[in-house]
Amino acid sequence: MAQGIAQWITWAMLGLPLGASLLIRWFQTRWSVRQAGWVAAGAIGSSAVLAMALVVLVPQGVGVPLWHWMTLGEVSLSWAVQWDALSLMMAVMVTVIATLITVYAMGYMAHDIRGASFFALVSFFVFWMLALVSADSLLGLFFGWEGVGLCSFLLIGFWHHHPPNRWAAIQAFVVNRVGDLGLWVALLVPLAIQQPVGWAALSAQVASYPSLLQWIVGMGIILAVCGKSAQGPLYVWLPNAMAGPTPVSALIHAATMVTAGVYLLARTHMMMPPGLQGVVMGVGLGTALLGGVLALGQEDIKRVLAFSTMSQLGLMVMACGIGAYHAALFHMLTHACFKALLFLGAGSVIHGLNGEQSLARMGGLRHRMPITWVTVSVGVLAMMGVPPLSGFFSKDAILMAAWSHSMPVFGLVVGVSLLTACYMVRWWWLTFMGPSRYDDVSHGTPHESPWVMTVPLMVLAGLSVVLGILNAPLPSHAPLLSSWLSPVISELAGHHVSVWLMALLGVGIATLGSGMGWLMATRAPAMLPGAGQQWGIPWILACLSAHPLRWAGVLADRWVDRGLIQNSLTGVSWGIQWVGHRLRGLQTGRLAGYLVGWVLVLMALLGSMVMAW
Amino acid sequence: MVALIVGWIVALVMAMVAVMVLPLSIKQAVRVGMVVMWGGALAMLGTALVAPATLDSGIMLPWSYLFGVALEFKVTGLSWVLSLATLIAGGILVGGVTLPSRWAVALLIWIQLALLLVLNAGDLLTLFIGWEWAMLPVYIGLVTHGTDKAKAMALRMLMMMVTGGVLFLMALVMVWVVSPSMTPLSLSNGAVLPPVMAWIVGGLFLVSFAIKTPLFPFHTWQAALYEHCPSYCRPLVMAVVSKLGVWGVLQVLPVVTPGLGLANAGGPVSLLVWGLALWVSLSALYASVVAWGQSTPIRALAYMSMSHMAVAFLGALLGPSHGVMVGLYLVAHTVLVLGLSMVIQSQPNWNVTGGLGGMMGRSPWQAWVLLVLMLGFIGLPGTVGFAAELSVIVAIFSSYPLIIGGVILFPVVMNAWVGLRWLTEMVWGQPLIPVLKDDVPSWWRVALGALVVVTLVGGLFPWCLQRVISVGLPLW
Repeated sequence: MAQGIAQWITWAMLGLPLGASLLIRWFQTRWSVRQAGWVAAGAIGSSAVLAMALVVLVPQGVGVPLWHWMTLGEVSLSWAVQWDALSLMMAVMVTVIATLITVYAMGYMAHDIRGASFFALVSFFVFWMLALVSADSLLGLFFGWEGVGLCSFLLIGFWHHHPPNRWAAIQAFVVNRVGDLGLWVALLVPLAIQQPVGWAALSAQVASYPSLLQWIVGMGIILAVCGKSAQGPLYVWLPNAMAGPTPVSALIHAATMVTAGVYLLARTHMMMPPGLQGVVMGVGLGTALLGGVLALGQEDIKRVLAFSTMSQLGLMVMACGIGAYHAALFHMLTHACFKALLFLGAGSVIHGLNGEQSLARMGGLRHRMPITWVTVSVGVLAMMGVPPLSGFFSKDAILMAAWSHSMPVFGLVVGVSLLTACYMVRWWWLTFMGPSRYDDVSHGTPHESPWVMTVPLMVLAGLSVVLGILNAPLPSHAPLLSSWLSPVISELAGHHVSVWLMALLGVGIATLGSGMGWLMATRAPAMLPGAGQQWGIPWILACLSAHPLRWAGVLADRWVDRGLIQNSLTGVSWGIQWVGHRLRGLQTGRLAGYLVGWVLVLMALLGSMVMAW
Repeated sequence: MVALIVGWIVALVMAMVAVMVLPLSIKQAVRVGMVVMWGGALAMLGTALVAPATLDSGIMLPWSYLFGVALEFKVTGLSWVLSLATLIAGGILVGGVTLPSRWAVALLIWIQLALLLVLNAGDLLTLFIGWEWAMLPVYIGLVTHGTDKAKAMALRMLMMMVTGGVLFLMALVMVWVVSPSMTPLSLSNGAVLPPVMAWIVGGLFLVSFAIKTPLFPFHTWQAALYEHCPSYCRPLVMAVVSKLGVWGVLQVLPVVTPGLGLANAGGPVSLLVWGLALWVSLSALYASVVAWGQSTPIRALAYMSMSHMAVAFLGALLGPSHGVMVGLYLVAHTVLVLGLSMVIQSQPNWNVTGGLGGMMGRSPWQAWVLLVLMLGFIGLPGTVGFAAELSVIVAIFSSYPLIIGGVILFPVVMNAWVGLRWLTEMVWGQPLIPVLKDDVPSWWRVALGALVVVTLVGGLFPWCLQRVISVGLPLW
């Protein structure tokens, strides 16, 4: 019974955004932005309601088979959906946030002549994201993984008349593809030894692989996580992806798609050999620190948030590396809310300032955009981890896990938290506080955004306030989210530290960090020279990867293909011509000469026959 | 089915002669071409629907003895799919591309019948005849309808083809000595070549197929051919003719030299097979790197195709048990390249560096087609390209050392990069030379739409294609 209902709900949940996407694409020239937006929001919102219905109906989870895909050797590959606490949590998060962002986008994209097609792409993205989180196998996840990558490519390049946007779109897709190589490997190893790739089967089998194969699979997963969640050297695409419309940055590059890496780590935790957990932790921690430092030096309102996302994702990956999966997932949930809020707030500012994105030309906007200011302030406080907002609980959980793991790790996490408070306050101050630095002539009179944009801000602010209760360590109850997730994924990290001590520490970090951020904003807003260009890291990475490959391609074409090989062929034909020219001398036209030749050949033949006989 | 195909080959010969001999206008010649090609496709489709069992059938022509060898034909699911694609594509090209003269129609029919011979050959001699015939009309087309550059290129191509043909012929003669019937079936049923001879024959075939595929260093003719080929036969050459190398491997090598598929045999055999695998996989890598250095999309597509075909070549070397996987790859690639080449060459300034761009504004429908097909070409899940790529790479991973699998994976990223670069440039970029809105006939759009449908349906339900392709496989 439950499975039957779940099957229908699954079809509807996946089909609604896909159907909306196709419908909007079909009518995009006839529908206004508002009409397209409402269709998309309606479809995605309905999916959100259905996802919540599934939580109520089948909280313990259910598997839904869909159809047979293909057979590879002896392995039969099928489509199926697996609803459990993890996938349901993700589905609810994705659809709720996406609904709010879609509503917001109706205002943000109102004056875009291609606005309707934007909603088709957003709906398409939601479909793929749902496919990703609900997949019951690595193959199904891979489909969603690539699908969201495609949508990200299309949406980053949405304003493709600007060449840098096109370049950013390609960069995002290709860097993600580099990460996808890892997923390819993780997928190919079990398939090559003719084993199924469902989650349950994989969890049981991978432990029995030879250790080299375990490591290969594990490294593949880490590489995939790095690509999608902008970790380690593969972070370079995320800041440039801000070229896309702001709702895209909020939805894809902050709240949902980029968290797929964390989801993958959680989903495949049984496949990760213990020796690689340290690598996961190291990658996450390194990225968290780098992102935090780089965020301090940015001048673009969206790029600060992009680096902040990278840093927070690093924290989540780090938490997975130390086995604190529940903490990582909880932070992912709260982060999705307040980071979406911050991005949408930034979008509201950009909208109100006629497209201005530089922090150097903002300031003093709190009077002009009061709703944006208040809601964004809530988001900033939540992100800093100020009690009793949601970020306080989720960041505290990570701090507690780090404390239990080791002191150096804990110290570094404290450093990341300090950086977070610092860059967020700097960002907030430069945008809303202090004297105004915008120009009324070129920026117009800054104004508050329409209700269609402010209402989602308010809802997200509300969620950023209350969501912490989901996993708060209440005295008489076990944390709700952790209890729900436990059957799917067990928390490996122990928490052997006083909650109150951690809370106190969290508040202290937030206070200290805000002070530093305020000082930076008011005294040295352009500190950290070179951070804007990321100290040349993207350039160095390009010099180590893309540039040599491109030059290799050009040079191989010029020197090997058109040079060496073609000249060799020409040489051969010249050689034949030369031989022919020389042999022409034998064609004297004298019969006697030819006869002598024939006789010589005949004698040679006869001689060889006699010898053989 | 096999009788139908043989009959249709005869019909194609008659149509070709009629177009050449009779004083037809170009319009009449086009009609003849369309009827004979689409008629054949419809007949094949109808027969398969009415009598699906005939998809696995063979026939020996009693009147066709040549050097003691009877010409034999054999149809399988895979050869049926590729033959069908060939005929449909031929019909589209005859009707959709501006033809310079009725001779062009005759040349197109010639290519068709050569391809039908190759695809449905039941013995090595028939395969060889089709093999040699397939490139000749392309050469003639290049020389008669091409520029000076094209003529120079045609000579280079001919040189390579003749070399490949001679090697093929030498191998054929050696097989004939042992098994005069020359059917791979007879070879697999006991008329096994002595071991040393098997390796020599295998080597000769291998180089011949490597030239046709083409693999490094025999590959430079292909990009130039794609660039200079007359537009009426370019899509066919790119989509079908370029598959003949892999087709040859799939049909011939495993049965002639079974040792080539024994990657895990140990000893010198393994060493040889691994060396071969390394060569093929590095060819794939090399082609994908050189694709970066190209200045026109057709040349880039040529190198990416080379890279893909090298992967298929490696899969085909593994032997008959992987035939279905390689077959899926061939079918997917045929569909995708056919569509891509059709869209690209229908654009104004397509062969001028920087001449493309702005398709989304000028021709959104074709831009979307290009998008889907290119995404399929670079192996995006949900398209037939991914299903095909996955199946072959799984086969390679399961049979060769991990390092070979690793090398093969790199072109996946590289091709994505090159493909996206051209895609964005064509679809979103600004053309250096302004062009008007393009105007393609509606049935051309229908044809492209059908290719998109195959790409997507084949990606979501590849088992359908697998089921058709697997009829009659493994061959021996």
